[in-house]
Amino acid sequence: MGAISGTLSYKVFYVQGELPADWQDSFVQAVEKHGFEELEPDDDDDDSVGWVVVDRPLQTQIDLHAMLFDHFINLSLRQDRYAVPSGLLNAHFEEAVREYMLENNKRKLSKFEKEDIKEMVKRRLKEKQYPRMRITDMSWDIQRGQVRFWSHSNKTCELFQGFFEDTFGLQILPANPYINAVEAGLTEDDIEALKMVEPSIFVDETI
Amino acid sequence: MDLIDLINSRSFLGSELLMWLWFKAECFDGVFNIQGGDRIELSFDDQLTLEAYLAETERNSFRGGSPAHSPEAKTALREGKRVQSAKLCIIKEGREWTFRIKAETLGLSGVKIPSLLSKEEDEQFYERMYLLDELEEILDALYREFLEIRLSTAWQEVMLPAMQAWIKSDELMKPANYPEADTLKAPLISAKAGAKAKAVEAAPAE
Repeated sequence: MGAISGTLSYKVFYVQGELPADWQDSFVQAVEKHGFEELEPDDDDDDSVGWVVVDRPLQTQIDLHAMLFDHFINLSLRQDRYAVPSGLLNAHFEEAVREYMLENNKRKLSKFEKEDIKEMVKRRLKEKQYPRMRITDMSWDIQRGQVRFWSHSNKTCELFQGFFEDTFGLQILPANPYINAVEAGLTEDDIEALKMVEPSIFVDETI
Repeated sequence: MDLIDLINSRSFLGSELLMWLWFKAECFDGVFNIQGGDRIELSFDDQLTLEAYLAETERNSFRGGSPAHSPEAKTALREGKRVQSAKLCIIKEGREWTFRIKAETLGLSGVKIPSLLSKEEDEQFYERMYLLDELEEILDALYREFLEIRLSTAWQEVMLPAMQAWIKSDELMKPANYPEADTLKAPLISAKAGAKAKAVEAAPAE
């Protein structure tokens, strides 16, 4: 949440490089290609990541009108994940193993048989639940070359950074004292000085 | 040094920025004239966290009241702790923003913006972004002012001693405790280092 309403806690990223000349068309295609795809219990993966319309997490069809707000590109990053508690999975697995051994008159199972049973049990449990959904908004001011992403989680921000770069083909750098200083318009001499400074000693403990 | 090294090795500047803001806010009762001619009021609100440099386990977190004016916070500074995060309040032209800022990343959280005037949802979005832009521009201006001093010889020669005196003192700071503007106009430390290197090169061999 965040771009349209709710708490304003966000991380800033600076976009490197220029927009392509045909950015409107190419970005719509790129976002479509990286759009969110629903998870199914049969899928091998337990998670799915992709773009959805901002403030409408179930809307996975995105056109230019849905993502371009004047000079802002607004999207939400949706992450769905099946989270089958390991205790539950193990309990069902052990029951399934006992049943299988009884039905097939076996005293011992191979590693592959156990793996197959585990996969089948996991799929059955996934069919009984919805994946957990997490939505994080992104607002890209294309005039200022700055992106706001509504999360401070390191893991989510790293995921977002990679996903943004894969989608739009542009590198983004997270705000921090060094990058903010460079983006503030320092000269080359200033940047040289920035690389030279050392932490100050505010309290001289030798005195 | 690659970019990751530069980012990690310069992260201390965030806490020094917040320390400088704290010192200057105390000297001038929160009044800042920022680049561009605007005047703002900046105050440290009811959350402040100080941490020992390179020792995250040594931390003092203050909540409630006005921790920046508390003896406990001063004691933490005297122990060598630095600002790790703070809740700040900025007022400009009667409009108020409050937010938490984290020194290591300069990231903002819990930002409360001035009341929105727009009624339509679309208009509200633009207004929200405009108000965030305005806040970030104020913080950028303050950061630029800090960097102008920090990257010059004036930091070691003038500003740092003034801040060290502030940390030692129990008195409330006044404008006279803040270095005069003339004393803050100084060359970059890189220029000084370059001149020194040239002087060494030019010195006749013994």
